This record gives sequence, structure tokens and C-alpha cells, in this order.
Amino acid sequence: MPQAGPDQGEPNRDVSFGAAQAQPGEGLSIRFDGRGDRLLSLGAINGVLKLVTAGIYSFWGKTEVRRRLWSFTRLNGEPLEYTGTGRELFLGFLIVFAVVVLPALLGGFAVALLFPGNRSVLLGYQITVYALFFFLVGNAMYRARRYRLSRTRWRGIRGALDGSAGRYGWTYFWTLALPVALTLAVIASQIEASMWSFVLTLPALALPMLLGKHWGIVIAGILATLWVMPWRANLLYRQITNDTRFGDQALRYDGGVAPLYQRYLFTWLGSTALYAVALLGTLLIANHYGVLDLSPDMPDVPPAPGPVGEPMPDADPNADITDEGEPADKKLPPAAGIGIGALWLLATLAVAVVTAWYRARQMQHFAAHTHLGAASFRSTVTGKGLMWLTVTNWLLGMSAILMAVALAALLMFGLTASGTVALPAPPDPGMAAAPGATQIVMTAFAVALVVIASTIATTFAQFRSARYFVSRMQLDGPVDLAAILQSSSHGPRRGEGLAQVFDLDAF
Amino acid sequence: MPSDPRQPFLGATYGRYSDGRSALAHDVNVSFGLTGLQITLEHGAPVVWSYGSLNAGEPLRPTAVDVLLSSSEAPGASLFVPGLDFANALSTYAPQLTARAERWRHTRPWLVLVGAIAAGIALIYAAGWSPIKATAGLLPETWRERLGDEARDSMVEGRALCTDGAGSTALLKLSERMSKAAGRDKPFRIAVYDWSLMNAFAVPGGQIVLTRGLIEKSQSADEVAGVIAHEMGHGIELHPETGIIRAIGLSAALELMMGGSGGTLGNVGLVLAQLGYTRAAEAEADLVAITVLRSSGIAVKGLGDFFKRVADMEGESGGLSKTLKPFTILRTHPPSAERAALVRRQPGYPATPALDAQAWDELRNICKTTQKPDARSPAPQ
Repeated sequence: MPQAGPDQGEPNRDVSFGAAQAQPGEGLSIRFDGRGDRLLSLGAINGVLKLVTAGIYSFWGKTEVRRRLWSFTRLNGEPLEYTGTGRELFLGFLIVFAVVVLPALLGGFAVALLFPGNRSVLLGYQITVYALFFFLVGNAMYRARRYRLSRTRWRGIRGALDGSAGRYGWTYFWTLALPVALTLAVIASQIEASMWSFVLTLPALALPMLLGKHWGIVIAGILATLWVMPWRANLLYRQITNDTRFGDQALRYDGGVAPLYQRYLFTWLGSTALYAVALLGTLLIANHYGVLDLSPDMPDVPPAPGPVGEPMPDADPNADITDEGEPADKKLPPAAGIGIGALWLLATLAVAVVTAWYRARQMQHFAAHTHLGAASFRSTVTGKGLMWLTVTNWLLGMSAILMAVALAALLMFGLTASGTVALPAPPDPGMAAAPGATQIVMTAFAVALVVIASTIATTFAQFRSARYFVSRMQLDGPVDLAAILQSSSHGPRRGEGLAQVFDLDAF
Repeated sequence: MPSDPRQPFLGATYGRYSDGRSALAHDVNVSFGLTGLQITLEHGAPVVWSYGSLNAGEPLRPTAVDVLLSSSEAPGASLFVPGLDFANALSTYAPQLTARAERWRHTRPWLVLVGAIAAGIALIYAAGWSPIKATAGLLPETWRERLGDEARDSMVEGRALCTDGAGSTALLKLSERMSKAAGRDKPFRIAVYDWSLMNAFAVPGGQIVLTRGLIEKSQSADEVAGVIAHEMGHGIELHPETGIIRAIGLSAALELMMGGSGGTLGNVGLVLAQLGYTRAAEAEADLVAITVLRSSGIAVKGLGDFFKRVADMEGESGGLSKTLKPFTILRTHPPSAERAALVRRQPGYPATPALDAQAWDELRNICKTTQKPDARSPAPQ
């Protein structure tokens, strides 16, 4: 045995390492070994560099975060290694941007030009694009996982995902699209002719509107769609797990669906209730802002820029209504939009909390039936722990952004109140006076603060999630390390461009 | 601790080496040689990994407690060395592995690029050339007119077009007179909409929109002509088209900056509605307006009276419409008074009224007959 010990100038050999020559069939310990104290500076540095390079550095920043998180993850005391590079991510993003995003943008512009003022065509185009993106999401997730696995090594042995991204993407798509399409078809059959023009101008309000009139159908639709979720999750997990490789060894999943449904009732009903409440809230907000009917206190339509560069003082606020009767096109005033957005944000958080216990159970079930050779995984996550993780991460993000916005607003206020800067009328959609130089600088400053704050918050959230999940994962049973051989495939050449563009990052 | 960082690290340290062919590992001794790391396995000669060829699993930080190394000279192999002394010493022998070196290496090319682009943009604007405006000028006429139609429709929002025959004729005559004076063979298309707000705006493609409110509140045809001249100024200088391209460019740039997660371009109509102008653009339009009025033989006094009246109205309501009241504290001075002053300073020239008394009367009644936008039948004459 080679000599190595404390008297060889190595004062602190960590005795928690397993022996290098593990006996055939020894366990593999999984630990998360890292502290979050340096992540603040990493996040801040990444944020600043992202700003000065107009966002391009974000690919390298993301890579450094991953390298750190991977090296916190220890098997038998030795870290995982992330061998991806920022350049790979950058190139992947460029390709997808040029091939997918840019044509979609230009297509939208072309449609707007060729069919000016035709709302239905524009709406149809947008729906088609979203459907296409939805079709590609599963594909993108698979590719992202494949890239990350192929860039993960332990003792030099690579991971891999040996399967078809298209097949996974298709499964991801149809298992959700089918129930949703059926539900929408039933709902559409209930929409009266008079409501169709309304649906076309404000599609986002169609469902809440129907909730008011045919709440039974809407609720039934949500229930039906959510009912298939456990089955869908199981199917997708099985597909992707059976494709996963560690070296030349495959993971194996043999779990069934029944145990999932045994714990699903509360989550199922709870989520449905929350979504119904959110829809109802949307309806109420829209109603309050007068978008749905012709109440006399309808807010001013923002006037266009006039010859003086600002909207003319209007002596008669109700002139629009009393003069001409009903305005032909309805628009959602900004305040309503913000209210509805906030409502759905809260709803999403609430759903995450309500589903936490079921998700923990699902994770335990998946892990227990995932095998590497003769060994099986075991996850000890709890519902309460998941809920707490979700809530705290969310609070972290929100407070970071709010602090940044508050700071920026304070600075802006201070500078203008002291007379240092003269501010022209602030820009609003449809209002006059596009921002002058001062305003651009102010906005840029606020954006900069928000970018840095959100980068820090995201980095922390990723770290906390990784720490939670990894530290609660075990591998029970013997693993024959000598039998795990390096695989010959090297995985994709470039990074997960599609996932970048759709922003599908867990880590 | 060696005081001279170049002194070889005293003694060897324990490491774990994997050849990358299987998941097994071997205990090894690791020491700092002159040119690279010396790795001694149990049997066999020591292997040397030169410092320049080293790669770390994670950028080396001052607080690192262990290191995972690989080398381009030995693809697939990896070496795990616990101990913060080793990690510290390694950063002096192989400084390219430190976090700071890595970040700088990756940032530098982009800083250079961004700097070059910023310098280029600064140069362009210093030279007075506006590439956005040049691009705007390249757009074909039909595209601009279509854009203009859509912008107009999204701003008037279904209000009726004023189509009284006599009034329309008067307006057309005025437009032809002023467009010819402005050097345009194709006259500006001017439309009046049944909108009580006092407003006027120019859209791409040589189109100007006036409101009933503007005409009702104007006290002479010269005032209306002044407003038309100002809007013609915007149109001649391609401000509407430039604004659109700038807005689209900003959206696309923002999207790129957010790494693709900044949201889609969104409603194109909303983009088109962002036809706000910078102060420079307003000033430019004012100057062109004065020229157009002079060439048309219409007195600039009308435009000045209009600005003065708006300045008075702004003074009444505290300088802002009620929607902007919360921001009153941010206003420092009313711009309209300035522009009235600019007009007053202009030297006089021989002028005739923009419209004779009868034509002015007809124009004031242009909204007697209106046509709703979705009506396909021609307006009654």
C-alpha cells in the first residue's frame, strides 16, 4: 500500500473518505459538502460582469455556479466535476436564437405588416407560436439534461442520457395537450356567439368570464387536467431515468403509478380550488377596472403624443364615452394587468405550497424504485421541508428585487427632487415624450440594480435547492465501482440552447 | 508555510488517482515538481502533469479545502487531493486555475467587444449621423404607409373618421399647398377623427391625424396650419419611422441581454403606439414647421398662438394632465412657453391666411358627417 499519512506534511487528511480501493460491493455515500457564504460574492460578481458585457457573460457565470455546486456534491468524499464551458452554452444559445426565436419575432412583425389591424390573424399566429414552443419544451428539457449529464464526471467517469429527445418531447407534449385540448373544446362549445368577439380581443379573460357563467364546466375541466398529472409524471420519469447512464451502467426505474394516486387527493382538490380562485380573482379585477362592461367610470384611454409632445389637458374626462357611445376595442389598463399578474404569481406560490407534501411523496417513490445495479436510491425529503424551501426561495427572490427597485426609486427621487436633474414626463405606453437621455440613464440604473439583485437571489436559491435535495439522497446497497466503465459516447457538442431560450434552468 | 512561494512544497501529500477507464481509484503521492505535479503510483514511475496543462474541477478559491484536477496531457484521468495547504500552494504554481484568472479570461474578450461597440456608437452620434434614421429611410414606401395605417388605427381606437365633403376638400387644399411648399410631390394625407381630445400626431408613411377637439379649440385656420406644419416636420424628418425601429431594436437587444428570457416582443400594436418623441425631435420638428409655414406663405403667428394657448392650459392644471399629477414634483419648467418664444422670434414675411373664411368654416364642420371604421360603404358626400 502506498504510504500516505499525517507525517508526510499533510496535516488534515479527512478521515471521512472511504478507502480508495472500495471492496467490490461497498456502498457509495452521497453528501452535500458546501457552505453558502461565498455565494453572495459570486452572485454579485456574476451580476456585475453580466451587466458590463451586455448579458453575454451570463453563460460563463452560470457555468461557474454549476462548477461550484457540482463540487459541493460528494460521492465517497470525492466531488462531482462539471466539465461544461460557457462557450458551449453561448454557442447553443446563439444557434437556437437564430433558428427559432428570430424567425418567430420576424414572423410576428411580418404578420402585423401584411394583415394590419387584423386582430384574429395576429392572435392565431401568437397561438401557433406558443403551441410550437410548448411542443418543444419537453424536447428542450431532455436536451438540457443530456448536456448536463454528459458534462458531469466522477473519478473521470462521464454521465450520459442515451435516448431520443424527440420521443420524450412528444410524450411531454401529448400527455398534457390532450386533456387540455379536450377541456378547451368542451368549454369552447359553451361560448355564446356574442362572447366570441370579446374572446378574440381579450383571450386572457375568456376562462374567467366563463367561470362566472359556467363554473361547473370550468372546474370539471381543471379537475380532469390535473387528474392525469401523477400518471404523466411517472411516465416521464421512467422514460428519462431508464435512459440515464453512469459510465456504461444504466439506471433502472420500476415504480408503478398506484402509490402516487393514494396520496394525491388533497393536492388534486387543493390545486383545483386555488386555480379556480385565481380565475375568479382575475374576473373580479377585470370587472373592477371596467373592462367587461360599460360603466361610466372607465379610465381614460391613454392619448397619443400631441404637437406639444404631451397629452393635452382634458377638461372632460367622460367625453370619450358620452360623445361616441361604446369604444370599439377594449384594452386592459396597466393597473389591472399588474393586479392580475400579482394574483397569478401568488396563486403559483400557493399551489407550490399545497402540492409540497405530494411532491415529497412522489420524490420518495421515484427514488426508492430507481436502481443502479444492485443498489437503490432513497430520498428523505419531507413535505414540510419542500414547502419551506419553496417559500423561502420565493421570498428571497421577491425581497431582492423589491429592495433593488426601492433603492433605484429612492436614488431617482433624490436626484430629481434636489433639482440636479430635470425629468420630462415619464414614458407610458401610448403617452408622449419618449425618454430623454436622463431618463434612459435612470432606467438603466434601475435595471442594473435589479439584474444584480436577481442574480444573487437566483444563485442562492439554486444552492439551497441543491443542498436540500442532495443531502437527503442516499444510495443503499453495494456498488461495484470496478465494473463501472467509461462510456465511449461524448454527448452533445454544444450547450442546451433550446432550454436557455425557454429559460428551463433548475441549476 | 514556505515564505518564498517558488520554493518547492515540502514533502509529498496524499492524493487519489483515477485513470478514467473505470470508477476505481488508487492512493498516490503528489508533490510539486519544477515543471509540474509529480504523481507517484504504487507501482511504476512517477507521472508528471505540467502546470500549464492542469484543469481544476472548480475554479481555485482561497478558501478551497481540496482540489480535483485533470490534465490535458492525460485525458480522462482525474486526481483528487484533499488539504487546503496543497490547494493554496497550487494557486501559486498554476495561477491560471484561480477563480479570478478564469473570470478575467472569460470577461476580457467581451469587454473589448462591448467597448468597441460603445465607442462605435459614440462616434456615430458625434458625427451627427443617425443609422436608425438611415434604416428608416430604406423602408419601402408601401411598408411605411401600412405601418402608418396600423399605428393610426391603434391610436384612434375605432373612433369615427370625419368625412364632410366641403371640409375634406378644404383640408385637402391646405395639405396640397403646404406639402408642395415642403417639397413633397405626394401630399401628406391628413385625416380628422371624431375625438374630443385636443391632439394631433404623425404616423409613418406621410400621414397626419388631427382630432375634432383640436379643430374646435383652434381660433384660426393659421393655428391648425401651424399644427399641421409641425406634424409635417415630424413626417419629413422620419421621426415616426425612426421611433418604431428604435423601439423594436431596443426590444430585441433587451431580449438578447436577458439571455432569451426577457419575454417575447409582445403586441406589435403596442410597439407602434410608442410614438413618443425626444426633445431633440420636437425641436427639429418645430424648426421644419417654421420653414414649411414660411414656404407656404402662412404666418407663423398661428403656431405661436397655439403654443401660447397650450402653455396657458398647462399653467392652469399645474403643467400636466391629471394622469400625470402624481409626478408634478418632477417637472421643472413648461416647454410650451419656450417654443412659443421661439416662434415669436421669427422675422416676418408676406403671408396669406391658411384658409379663407368660408373654407375655415367648412373645415370646422368637417365632423358633421362621420364614417365608422368598419363601415365599408363610401361616406355620404
